[in-house]
Amino acid sequence: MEDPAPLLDSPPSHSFMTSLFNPSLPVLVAAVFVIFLTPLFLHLFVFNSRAATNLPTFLLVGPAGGGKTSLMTAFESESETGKPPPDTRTSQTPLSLECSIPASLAGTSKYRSGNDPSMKAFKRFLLLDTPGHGKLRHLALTQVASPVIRGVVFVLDSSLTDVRGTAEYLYEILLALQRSASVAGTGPPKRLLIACNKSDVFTALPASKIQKLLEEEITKMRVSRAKGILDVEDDGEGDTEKEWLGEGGEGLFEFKGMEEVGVEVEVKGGSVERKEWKDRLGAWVGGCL
Amino acid sequence: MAEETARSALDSFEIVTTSGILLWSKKYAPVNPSIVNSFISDVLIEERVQPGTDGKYYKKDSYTLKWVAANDFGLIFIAVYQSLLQLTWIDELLDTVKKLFTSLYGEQLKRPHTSTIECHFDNYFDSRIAELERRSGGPARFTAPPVSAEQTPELEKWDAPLPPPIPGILRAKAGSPAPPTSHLSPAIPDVLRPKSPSGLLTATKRPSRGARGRRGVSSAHASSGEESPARNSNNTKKSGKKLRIWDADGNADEDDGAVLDYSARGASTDDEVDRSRSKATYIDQKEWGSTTSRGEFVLKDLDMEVNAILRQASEKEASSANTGYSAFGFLRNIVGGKTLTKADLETAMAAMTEHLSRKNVAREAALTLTSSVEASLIGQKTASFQSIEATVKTAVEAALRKILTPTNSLDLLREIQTKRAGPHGARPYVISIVGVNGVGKSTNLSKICFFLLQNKFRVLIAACDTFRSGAVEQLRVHARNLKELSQREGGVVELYEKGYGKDAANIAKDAVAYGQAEGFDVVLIDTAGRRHNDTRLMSSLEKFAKMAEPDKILMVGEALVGTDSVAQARNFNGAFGGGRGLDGFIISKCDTVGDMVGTLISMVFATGIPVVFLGTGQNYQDLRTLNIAWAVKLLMS
Ligand SMILES: Nc1nc2c(ncn2[C@@H]2O[C@H](COP(=O)(O)OP(=O)(O)OP(=O)(O)O)[C@@H](O)[C@H]2O)c(=O)[nH]1
Ligand SMILES: [Mg+2]
Repeated sequence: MEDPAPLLDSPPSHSFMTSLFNPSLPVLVAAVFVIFLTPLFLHLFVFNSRAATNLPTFLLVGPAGGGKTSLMTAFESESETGKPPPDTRTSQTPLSLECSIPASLAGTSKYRSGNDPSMKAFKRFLLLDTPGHGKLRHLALTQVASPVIRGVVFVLDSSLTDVRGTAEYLYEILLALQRSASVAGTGPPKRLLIACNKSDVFTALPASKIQKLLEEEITKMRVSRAKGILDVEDDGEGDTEKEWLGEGGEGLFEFKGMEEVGVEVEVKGGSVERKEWKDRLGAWVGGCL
Repeated sequence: MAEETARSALDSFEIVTTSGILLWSKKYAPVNPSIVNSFISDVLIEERVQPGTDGKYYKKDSYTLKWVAANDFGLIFIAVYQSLLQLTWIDELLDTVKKLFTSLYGEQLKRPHTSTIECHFDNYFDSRIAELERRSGGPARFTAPPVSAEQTPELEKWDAPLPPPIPGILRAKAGSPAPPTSHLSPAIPDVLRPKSPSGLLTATKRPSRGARGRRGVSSAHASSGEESPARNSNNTKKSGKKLRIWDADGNADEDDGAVLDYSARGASTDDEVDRSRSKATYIDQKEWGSTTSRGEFVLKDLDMEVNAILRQASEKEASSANTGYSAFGFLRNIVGGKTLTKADLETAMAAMTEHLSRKNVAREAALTLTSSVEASLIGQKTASFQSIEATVKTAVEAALRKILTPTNSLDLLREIQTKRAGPHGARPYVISIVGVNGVGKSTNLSKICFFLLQNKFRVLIAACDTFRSGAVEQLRVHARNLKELSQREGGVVELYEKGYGKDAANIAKDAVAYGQAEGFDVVLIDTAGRRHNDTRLMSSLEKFAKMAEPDKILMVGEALVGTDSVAQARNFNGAFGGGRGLDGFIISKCDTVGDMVGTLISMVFATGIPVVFLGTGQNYQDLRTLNIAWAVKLLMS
């Protein structure tokens, strides 16, 4: 008669074991979920954390056909693959490519000696190409203010057949930069390079002339913009003052004047065809890093 | 080689990424890149459909373009040929090239931050096009696609299209091209010769002409051998017999001299192969068997590889269609990373169409919009933790934004200034307003006038509604009011009228001449309202446009109008003749519809012409420009 005691004991332990080996459906389902989801979460975690280690990014904007994609692929293939760059067609989606410049070009390396081993290294960064088509420009404009963007390159065709259209896009970009600079407050200035591409073509204008034409056009444009019809979201009351590009009043608009609102503008000419951007854009990128 | 390939009916074939990089192309004749660029802008970005094409092809200059997209890889395959030619096989070419290319290089295409891929696609393409041209009896190219013993290993090495489960694939390969009655086997590993007397496809040992700087030719033949086992493993009831016949035919002896030791290995894989055969495979096999057979020509080595890949791709397609409802598919819907199929999207799309209709988007516009979004989503993967619904919503939002965004923005003041900056006594800037009856043409004209007066322009209003009684008087009242309002600001406004019954086009012309003589900056022309299906009145618009030569023709449409909006916009846009169309819409009475601003979409959708102004009330200053973010927000709310 010693049995009862163990017998009394055993049902709980027995049922425990039973339940362990005969799990109810919900438990089974939960377990299966956990088993399936863990790797998925792990994957996502790893995936995201890798994306988070962002390289500094430079944004390529500009009207369609200016040569953004060509410039980017030329830059990539010279620095990475060494193969001739592929041809390009009209872009519809953004694309980022990993590129590099010799560390000697980077701003922080100014004071190092040329024999410093770190000077042989390369600085890596991303070039982010955007479509230039009028309908797709918001893809670029939403990126301009992003904190990962170290600098913006406005690529245009030096023949400048459509000054107004080009200036309009540039105006939008400048305004977006000004806005993000004023939000950021005191920080490093936002940097914009106006890259006058295709200087090899015989109709190309010199960069200084292009700068002058664009400044003139923007001068007129900001006046007409300020007087333009209100946006549908403006109720027409209160603060109807429109955003004004640059500092100061009506007068001539100058890219130099943008420095006062925290945007540094530089203008350079060059040609993808003649492989000139590697040095020129490289130097500018180096200065931003 | 160049002369031979130049005989293709195609002018060029391009594989382009959506980001604008030409991954691979084949040129048979020089084609200016601007042809493809304008195709991308017109069709893919602006989604314009050329009349009569039904969106199936695109014509530019003397070329016709056909295309197919691979959304999951962001690729567009474009075939360019002369419009004079009637090519029946282009669709199949596009389709098969798409399958081939994505199967071969899919992995590479998914890599981030790179633009180029290692691709040696020329031979595959040549094989495909030769096959199709041959079958269609079209311009036969008498050269065999450049496959050679030397080339094959190289292909294998660099393209590595068929990772381990080769047996399965290759068995498929072997099965598919076998014509039901054929005495040929598809299993001949290297260059094969036709059995037909024509003997056109004599085995050429010509080394491939690598289009894009190929590397040196390697000499190993190993891969040919590797490929072959499965070819021989064709022991299903259906095709096994054929195989034997082929063996008997003794076609296997090759002048290329590749030593192929396939039979032994083939035998070992037979069983696995058969077991792995799915139902889908079986169906596909039949399909491909019937399409790839012509019986007279022996398929070549590469052809078989090509067929295998194609068939694998169709298998995948078929099987992915089935997984949609499985538990894993359900999970995927929550976690993301699900490849979207038409079935997945159906309900979400229907709901979206309903939603848009409720926002007063015309049915036709809503349907077209959702189906184009659907087409762009099929094959894509949902993002992490994004349900199908959320994915669809984002895509529709993007589509709405794209529709509403104009290709060129309109800065009216700048345009007038530019025009007036010319020599003294130049023509004034002419704006004419058209629309159906009672939509608010005169009101909106007055609003624009008020805006121009505020900017110190001299404006002449021309009353060209000589039809409806009271129209001239109405404008006279407006002109008087505006004069009072603007006197302090320094604007000048005058009314030009010639009473009723006269020809509107002539009055408009006279008004412009008068405006020019008197030094007005802008002439605003009011026209008679007309039903868009009244052919007589609509046809008079053509003469009007010729005589008045307006710089801008703006159409006023009511925000309240529903389904009719599409037809209205279309008919007005087409009424001016000779390549002249509308330049913009003014959508009136926007204050009365709340968030049901669907008319914006319907009208822009129908014509591709932007909305330039919105009328938002009864006062002169109630004119606004469109804010796209605002409109999209309202439409999606
Ligand atoms: N002559 C000359 N042609 C160039 C140069 N750079 C680019 N191109 C050509 O200009 C054309 C357009 O270049 P893309 O790079 O596609 O232009 P994009 O700015 O990316 O255009 P979207 O993608 O439409 O915005 C291509 O045919 C290039 O070959 C250059 O420096 N000189
Ligand atoms: Mg581009």
